Amino acid sequence: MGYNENLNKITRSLYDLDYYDDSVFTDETADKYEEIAENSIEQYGWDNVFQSWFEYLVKYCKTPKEVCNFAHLFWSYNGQDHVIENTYEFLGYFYYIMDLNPAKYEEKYSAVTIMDSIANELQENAGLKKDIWCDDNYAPEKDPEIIKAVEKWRSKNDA
Amino acid sequence: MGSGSGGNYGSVSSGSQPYAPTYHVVSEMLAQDKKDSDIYNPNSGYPKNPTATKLTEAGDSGRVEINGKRADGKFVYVMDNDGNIIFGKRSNPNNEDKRSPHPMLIGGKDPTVQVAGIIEFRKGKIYSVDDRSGHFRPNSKSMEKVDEFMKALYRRNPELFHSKSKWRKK
Repeated sequence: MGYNENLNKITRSLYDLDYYDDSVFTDETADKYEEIAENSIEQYGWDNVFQSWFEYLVKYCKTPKEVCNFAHLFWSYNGQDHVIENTYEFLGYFYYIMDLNPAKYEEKYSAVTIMDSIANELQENAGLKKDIWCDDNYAPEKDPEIIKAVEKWRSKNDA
Repeated sequence: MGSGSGGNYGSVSSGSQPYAPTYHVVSEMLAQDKKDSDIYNPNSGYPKNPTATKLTEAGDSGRVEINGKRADGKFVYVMDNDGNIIFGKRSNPNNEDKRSPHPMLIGGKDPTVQVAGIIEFRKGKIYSVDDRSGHFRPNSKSMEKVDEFMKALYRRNPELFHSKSKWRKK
């Protein structure tokens, strides 16, 4: 089994989990898979792991529930602690699938909460924004950079 | 790499108010809010955030929950005048395009708090707290109260804390 194949297999095991099913994503499972994620980052390096996670996101997460599920797992695996180069491309995909309306999916999937958290953290880590959490008016889905990234996903996939 | 919250409680000292037992909303933010009917009502002041939840009442199942779901991500929180930590979602109940600022966790015309900031949960466990609040701008010294609160909560309910939280690591 090749390098990428191994890593992609780990990625599938991490993100095939149903975060919203309490009988599946138990405390024990969450701890176990967090450790698997950490070990894979140590073994393959963050850039390769992130690339694999991003590919999974685009390939397998096509509905609001699926991207919210991915977002919660990404948070549980501490993805938000890292720097990613294509921050807006990554964030844009979630908002593209949710049609820039995370509030519609807040009650069912806690979409606003988790997406605000990930978007703010990744933008700060990448040095794209500063002190976002002090700005109570900031909403990622209204950010021109995020909207621009969503437009790119739309033109790529909806044409 | 690094989120900036690494120490499990962070502090934003620039622009903070001088230390005080309690803090009011800073005047420029109050003036701004008064122009926004989704955030401030001239008769009743700040509406109450419907998701405002006392931290001590959110963890009966061995993890922190809000609205019946595992708390994950970053939430606004305040310590009220009675020493309760109250946290809530940032979603604005009056306008889905906006967010709920810290004063909405208390509500009313002149809400006061001992501390305000952001509380982070990972896998339903308390991970970190800080004093980032554009509305109250508490002095970093006030975080000592939050630290004491968390130490006491940890003694009573250690399973509510993430294994990498500063309180659990001690």
